[in-house]
Amino acid sequence: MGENTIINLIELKENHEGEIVLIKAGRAATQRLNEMGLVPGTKVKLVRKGPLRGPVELEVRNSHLVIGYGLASKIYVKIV
Amino acid sequence: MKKEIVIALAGNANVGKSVIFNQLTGLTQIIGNWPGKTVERAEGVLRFKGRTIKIVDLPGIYSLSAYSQEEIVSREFIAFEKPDVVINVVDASNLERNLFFTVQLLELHVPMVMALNQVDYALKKGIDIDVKKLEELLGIPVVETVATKGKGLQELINKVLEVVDSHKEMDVKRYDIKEEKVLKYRNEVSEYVMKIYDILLKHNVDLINLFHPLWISLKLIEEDSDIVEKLKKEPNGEKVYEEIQKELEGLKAKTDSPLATLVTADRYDIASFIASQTVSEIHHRITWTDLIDNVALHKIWGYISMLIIVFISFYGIFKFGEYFSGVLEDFFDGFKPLVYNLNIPNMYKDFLWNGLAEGIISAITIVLPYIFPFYVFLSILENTGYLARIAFLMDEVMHKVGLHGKALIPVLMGFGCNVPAVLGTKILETDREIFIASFMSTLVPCSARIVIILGTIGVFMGPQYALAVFALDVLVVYIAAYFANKIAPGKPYDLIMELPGYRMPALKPTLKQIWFRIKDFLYVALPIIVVGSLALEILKYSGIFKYVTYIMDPIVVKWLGLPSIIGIVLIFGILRKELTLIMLLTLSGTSHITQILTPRQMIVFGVVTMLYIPCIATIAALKRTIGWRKTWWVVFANIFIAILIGGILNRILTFV
Ligand SMILES: Nc1nc2c(ncn2[C@@H]2O[C@H](COP(=O)(O)OP(=O)(O)OP(=O)(O)O)[C@@H](O)[C@H]2O)c(=O)[nH]1
Ligand SMILES: [Mg+2]
Repeated sequence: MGENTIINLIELKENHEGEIVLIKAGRAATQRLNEMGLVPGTKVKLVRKGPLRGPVELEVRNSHLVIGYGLASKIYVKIV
Repeated sequence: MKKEIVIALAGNANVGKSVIFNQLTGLTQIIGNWPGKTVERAEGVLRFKGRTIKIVDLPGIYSLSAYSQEEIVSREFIAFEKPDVVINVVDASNLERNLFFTVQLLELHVPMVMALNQVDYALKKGIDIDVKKLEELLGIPVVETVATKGKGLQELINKVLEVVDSHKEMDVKRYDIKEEKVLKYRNEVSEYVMKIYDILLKHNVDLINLFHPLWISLKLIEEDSDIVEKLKKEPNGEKVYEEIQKELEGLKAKTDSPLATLVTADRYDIASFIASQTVSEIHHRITWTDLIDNVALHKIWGYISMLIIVFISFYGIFKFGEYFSGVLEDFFDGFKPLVYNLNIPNMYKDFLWNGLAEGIISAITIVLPYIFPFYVFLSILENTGYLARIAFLMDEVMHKVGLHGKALIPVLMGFGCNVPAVLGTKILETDREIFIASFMSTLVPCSARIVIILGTIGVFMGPQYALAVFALDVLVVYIAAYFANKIAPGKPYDLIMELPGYRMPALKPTLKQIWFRIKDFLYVALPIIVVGSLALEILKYSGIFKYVTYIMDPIVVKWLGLPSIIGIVLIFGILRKELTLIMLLTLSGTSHITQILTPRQMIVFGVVTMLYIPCIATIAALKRTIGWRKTWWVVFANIFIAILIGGILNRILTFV
């Protein structure tokens, strides 16, 4: 996968970075993610994934967020 | 000059609002290192320079569009009840995210002061902030604070008073977004803010007298349901709303993101702009947090280390408790002859010794030695930040019972006391989740029940048996939650949580917290234990017991295989769980439980006391959190589970 490929956040490898392009969740969930700092254009680093369908830990805006698997799979990023 | 002032502490979760509150008011709000401790507003009073300042501690929020119950509390207070000044507490080590909320307070144009807190922690992370510049950009006073050490708080209050005294009402009829210095949105958004503002002005909508026009207009662009409702309720409101919606069609046509996303993105842009102008990272260090988390959150090692932590703390608490319990017992045993050598009738001796002395002594020798190390351990767990890691590790496991990982944090607090655990479930998003999590909390053995198990099964049968009972409890809690989730089905919300960095627990606030919990035992539990023990002695002489045991024997004796007297102590245990053990000992005139119970009975007794009913304080907390109807359901479910599992154990254990 080269640059600018758009993938699902959970497909991002650990310690890799991406830029958010789209959040395909319900209205409330989208807004909630937005307000935690995940808006289109934001750079995120995937720090680690929990086992199986566990949550992901992101580094975003110099702080760490944990997002459940289901929600994380609704976030799409562009590899940078 | 205003003499009585109301100020609110507002800001993101886990920034130090409650530490500041505790420092200023001398009260003891829950503090700890995970987001979402404060769930209800708390009030305290500070007298300063001849003025009475009411201080309100609020739950942490990330934005003014609130989701869970506790976030709504904050929004209502800030936006609708209008304190004289809002102290926006921010975490200096995480400025950008915190400024996102600050931007919204600026939009509301409330009188405010910023407490730039945790500057010590920020410095450790190599972050330096230009305070002058920050003040200039925001246009409000900014005071650097280290809440845990009380640094900067005096100056903070001075600034608050200055703001109160110099505050002027603004003219809402003459607002122009172009005059904003730092609140710069993309052109389309600014343009539509003014368009909506014009509509509101044209129709003389009262709402703009209540909230600042900028904030309302942005909220209407975001289609905030609460503000829309408020608008519709005004005379002509429906029509005004329609007009606004028609206007917004134009904005919608220009973008393919939801409008709320546009506004949020702009706010974050403003926040990052301010941060970029004021924050300089002196050096980027690999922090302790990163190193520890490589193990603590690891797919395999994370779980292994969690188990190791549980084992170490279990044995640590047990060994400490066992040793000091023995020491204290030897000490107090010396006093018994003193009472029995007194020259008074035997009945009074019984009252004195059994009713008064024995109760207090057992409470001190059996309960205190265990709860002390337990609370120390709990504080460490709370204040280091490890609880949030447990939420990460257990997220998926919790999904199976319809909750997310963060729900486990209040449930785990139940090990200390079920009351804050039940109240703490308010951090969850829906009634359904709150119900399941509160139900789980009631089945988690609180410190009192842990002591009963450690002090009986642990001491007389061996710690491994006590551990087995706790393992059984974990299973019971999980299965109970599984069924509760079947009764109240629904899709679980997904976890969204900020992961706090590890912190060294601050010494003074932590000690204060431990003392506060032990004080609860000394000042609340101990009197109940004494009065309960006395009442028990009196009832014993009144001969009422035989009627009670007559009713309870079929279950207690036949089904659970326990001595008849257990029925009585279980009833008293509803007041305070420690009473079950203490009364059992006084009633049988011994402090060696082995003389009353066989090992099998000890286990059944331990398990039944662990599960059988929430104590009255917990029932009251349940009522406040989930209402009477569900509370009764929880109570009966507990009784049922206790009797069921106690009886099964009784039968299984007869064969081994
Ligand atoms: N190093 C350092 N730690 C601090 C400071 N202020 C608070 N803390 C720690 O930050 C954590 C959170 O503090 P709280 O006061 O409980 O935070 P809160 O803002 O009330 O959090 P919620 O009620 O969850 O919204 C605790 O572990 C505190 O010990 C500070 O100035 N310096
Ligand atoms: Mg708090």
